[in-house]
Amino acid sequence: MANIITTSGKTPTRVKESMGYESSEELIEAIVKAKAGDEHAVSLLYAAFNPGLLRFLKARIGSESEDIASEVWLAVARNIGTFQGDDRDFRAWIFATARRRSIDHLRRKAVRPRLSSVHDANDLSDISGFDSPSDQLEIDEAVAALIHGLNAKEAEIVLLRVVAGLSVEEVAQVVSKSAGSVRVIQHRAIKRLANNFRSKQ
Amino acid sequence: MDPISQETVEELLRGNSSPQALSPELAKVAHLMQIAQAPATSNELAGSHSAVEAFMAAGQYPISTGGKEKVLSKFLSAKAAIAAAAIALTGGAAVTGALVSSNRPASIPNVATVNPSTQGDSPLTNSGSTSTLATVVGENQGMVSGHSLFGLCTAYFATTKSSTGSSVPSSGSTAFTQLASVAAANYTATNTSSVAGFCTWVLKNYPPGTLSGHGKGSNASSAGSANASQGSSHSGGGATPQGGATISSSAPNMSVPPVSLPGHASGASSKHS
Repeated sequence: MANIITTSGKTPTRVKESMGYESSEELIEAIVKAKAGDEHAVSLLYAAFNPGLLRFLKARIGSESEDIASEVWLAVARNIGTFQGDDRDFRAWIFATARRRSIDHLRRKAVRPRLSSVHDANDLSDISGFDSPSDQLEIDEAVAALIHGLNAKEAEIVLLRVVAGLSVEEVAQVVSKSAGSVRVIQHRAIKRLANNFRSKQ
Repeated sequence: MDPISQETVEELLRGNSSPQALSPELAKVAHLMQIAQAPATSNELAGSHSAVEAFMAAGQYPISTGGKEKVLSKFLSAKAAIAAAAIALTGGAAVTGALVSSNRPASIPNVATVNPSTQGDSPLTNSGSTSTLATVVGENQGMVSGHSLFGLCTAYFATTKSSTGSSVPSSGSTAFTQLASVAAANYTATNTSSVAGFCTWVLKNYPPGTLSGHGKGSNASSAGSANASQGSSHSGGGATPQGGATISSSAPNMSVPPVSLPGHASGASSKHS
C-alpha cells in the first residue's frame, strides 16, 4: 500500500493543504523560480499539483491519465516562460490544460468521459466507512464514487471544485460558463449524490 | 430530505463543513470529498525526478543529466516513444505529413496550418498511438508550411544563383534561418549543401498545386493553452504554438528524401508512399 506523504506536515482539512500544496507565497516564489529554470522549484510545483492532476485525469479518462498528465507538464514547461499570474492562476492554467487535453484525448478515442464509477453503490458505503485514506486505491475509489451517477458536466465541475481545488469563479472560467451556472450545476450534483446515498440506506 | 442550501453546498465543496452539522447523506459526501483531497501518495509523486528533467528539457533549460531526447522519451509513455520513433524514422513527413523544423519559428508564415491535436481530418487523429506524440511535436517544434518552403526555396535559388550554394542568403532573415534549420534537420543525403539539396528536392517534388493546406490558419493548440478561460488573468500563459503546416499525405510524388534527424542514426530513413 502506498504511504501518504504529507509534504506540508499539516492536517489535511482543505484541498490547499491536504494535497501537499505549499503556501501561496511559496508557490508564487516557486513559479517565478521555475520560469528561470530552477529544478527545485519545478519539483515543488510538481509535488503540489501533480496529485490533483492525476486524480482529475484518472476520473475522466482512466488508465491513460499518467500519459496525459505528462503532456500537461510538458505543455507547462514550454509555456511557463510567458505565464503571468499567481498560484491560483497557475492552478487554473494547469487544470484548464488538463481538461482540454482530456477532451482531445477522448475525442481521438471517440469515447465518452468516464462518468460512472466501476464500483456499485454498495462500494460507496464501504468507502465512507473508512476513517482516513491510507492508500492510492482508496483515493481513486473515493474520487470515482464522488462522480458516480452524475452527468458529464456535473462530474467535471465537482472534480474541478474538489480535486483541483478551484473556486466557483475559476471553474466558471475553465468550463466557459457563468459563475451562476456553475453554482446551479454543483448544487444539483451534490443533491444527486446525497439522493444516491439516501436511496441505499 | 431537507433541501440543501447553496451555503451548505459551498461549504461542502470547500471542505469546511462539519460532519456533525450535516445530514447522514451529506456527511458521506463530505467524507468522500475529504478522501479525494487526501495528501499526495508516493505513487502520485513517483515520477517526480523524470518529470523535472523532462520539464527542464522541454523548457529549453540546461539539464544536468542526459540528452533532451533521452529525458523526454523517458518521461513520455512507451506508446508515445514508439510514435516518436516512427516520426523520427520518416523525418516526420510520413506520419505527420509535415516538415519539422528544429527550432520553434517565431514568425513563419503559416499558409496552411493544422492543429494535430484537434484537426479532425488530420491523419494523426486516426491513430491514438501517434497522435499523442505528434501533438507534442507540433507544439514543441513548430512546422514550416509547404507553401512557405516552396517560396523560400525559390527565393533561395534566386538569391544564390546557384543550386550548390552553401550559405544561406540574408542570414539575418528569420525565414531563411528557418529554412536552413529545416534543411539541416531533414536533409543530409547528398554531397551538396543541406539547403541547396533540400530546396532542389522541394522544388522537384512539390511543384505548386501539390501542396494542400487545411486552410485553418493560425490556431491555438488546446493543449498548451493557458488562456482556456475567457478573461483569464494570466494573459501570457496561453503562449500556444502555431499549428503545424502540413503537406497533404495524398499529394503525388511524396517520396521523402533520405533524412537524418538529430539524435538518430543516419540511414534510418524510409519512404512514404
